[in-house]
This record gives sequence, C-alpha cells and structure tokens, in this order.
Amino acid sequence: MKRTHLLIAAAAGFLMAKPVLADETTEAKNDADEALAQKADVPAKPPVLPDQASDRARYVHDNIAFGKKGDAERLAHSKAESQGKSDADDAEHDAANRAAHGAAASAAGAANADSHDKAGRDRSNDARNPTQSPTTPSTPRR
Amino acid sequence: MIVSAGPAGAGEHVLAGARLFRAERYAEALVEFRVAERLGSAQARGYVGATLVKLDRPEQAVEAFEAPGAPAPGDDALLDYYHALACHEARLYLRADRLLETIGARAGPRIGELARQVRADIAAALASPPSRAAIDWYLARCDDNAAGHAALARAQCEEAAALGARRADRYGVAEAHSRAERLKPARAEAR
Repeated sequence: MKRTHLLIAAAAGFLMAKPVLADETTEAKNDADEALAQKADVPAKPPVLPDQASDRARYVHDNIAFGKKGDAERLAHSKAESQGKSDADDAEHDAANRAAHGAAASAAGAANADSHDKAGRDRSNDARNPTQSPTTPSTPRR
Repeated sequence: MIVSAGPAGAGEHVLAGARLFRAERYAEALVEFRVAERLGSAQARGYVGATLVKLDRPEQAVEAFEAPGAPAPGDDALLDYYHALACHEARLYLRADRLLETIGARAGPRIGELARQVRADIAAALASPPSRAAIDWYLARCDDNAAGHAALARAQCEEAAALGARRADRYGVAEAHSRAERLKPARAEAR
C-alpha cells in the first residue's frame, strides 16, 4: 500500500517536472533567439569574388612592398643606423683613448729621455772636475 | 522547427550565453553555448555558429553550421540567416544566397529585409560570369582544407562548381564536382 503511494507520488512528480523543464528550455531558446535577432546585421564586407592574382597583389602590398616587410626593413635600417652610430662613437672613443695613451707614453718617453740626458751631463761634469764630486770621500790631513 | 534548447542543464547555459551575446561579450557567450552543446543541445550548435560569425571566424562558423547534428537549413530561419552570413564572410556567396532565398518572412520583417539587402548585393557582385582565377581560388582552398576541414572544403568545391556553371565554358565544374564527391558529405552522416 505504502509502496503504491510512493510510486504514484513519483509519477506525479515526474509528470509535473517535465513541463517545468520544457518551459525552462523553451524560455532559454526564446531568450537566445531574441538576442540573436537583436544583434543580426548585414555583412561587414561587400561581396567580392576572390582571385589568385588580386590575393597575391594584396599579399605583396601588405607584407612585402609597403607593409610588414617594409616596416621590418625600415626597422632594420634604423637599427643598423643607430648601431653604426654607436660603433662610430665607440671607434671615436677608442681612438681618443689610444691617442691619450700615445700622448702619455710619448710624454713619459720624453721625460725619461730628459732624465737620461741630465744623468749624462752630470757624469760628464764629474769627469772634468773630480774634487767637486760630492761622492768622493775626503780624508783629513794630519 | 526545434522547440527545445536541449536537455536539463543545457538550458541554463543557453540562457547565460544569450545574456552575454546581447551584451556583445561574444567570446564568453561562445564558451556558454559550447557547454550547452556538449550537454546535448542541438540548437546550441547553431548558437555557436552565430557567435563565431560575430567573432569574425566565418570559416569555423560554416563548419559549426554544417557539422553533423547541427540544425538543418529550414529548421530555424534565424539560424539560417546567421549561417548565410557565415557563408558570405567565407566568400561562399552562392551558398549564402541559397540560404537567404528560403528565409523570406519566416524570421520576421527585420531579418527578412536584411536578407533581401544581402541578396541584392550578392546579385550585383555576381552579375557577370566569374573569372577562371576566382574558380581556381575556390578549388585551391578546397584542396587546402580537404584533410582537416572536410565540411568547409566541400562547401568551397561546391561553390567552385556553382560559379563554373555560370560560365559558358563551365570551367572547373566537373573537377569541382569530382573533388566534392570525394569529400565525405557532413550532412549525410547526420541524417
């Protein structure tokens, strides 16, 4: 008896639930159709038959002549130019360094030569006038 | 006419997708409609196609509309209109025209008027016989897509055949038919 009641209740529940589900899905469909209808429009591009030649021309225009490749080439040129400038700056800097080193070396060389000259002159004076040599030890006379 | 938006659970996602579509949040709407489709809603496959049109992915939209299990042409005039837009944007103009021809007033006066405008534009663009280069373009695309996108490839071969038939010399017609035949018909699988 109890089992029969349960079965009747389940069947009633199923029969009542089915229209609710159908209502929900119909509502979803209606809502989606309304949204699609609201946003429907004509195509953005006019109809134009394609052809291989015009597509190739468009590709060349977009990617090679004035487009991406052209941009890439301009960028490469610009980079090369700035790199070249930077290289030139580096070279100039190096040359300046080398010149400075050269000048310093030359100055050092000149200073060294002066010093050698002076030493030479001193030695010559000593030879001509030995008593005046500060390095000669003097012995006291008794 | 399909009345249901799908089994339990799918309706919820169709509703969410509709709300996002209305808000022009098409990428998110696509996700919701795809979930509904996976939950078994055949109608949602059509909504996926319409959303792909809005996302400017017409070739994928054509595939969605022509995949097995999608609503058949004639089932829903609104989806037929979006299917026609997908074909138009994928340069399948004669296919688009055939779909638009059947819409008439079925989708309401506004969509009917849009369909009339698009048909007029197509008629003007195809007033003179197509060039051989145009037909070759479709045949080349058909070959390119034959491996991974059979439904799209078949549509492109059929377009080549229809265009070739507009020329006195019927350039490419036999070749296009033969290639289209070799591609597995997507709709024949479903029905």
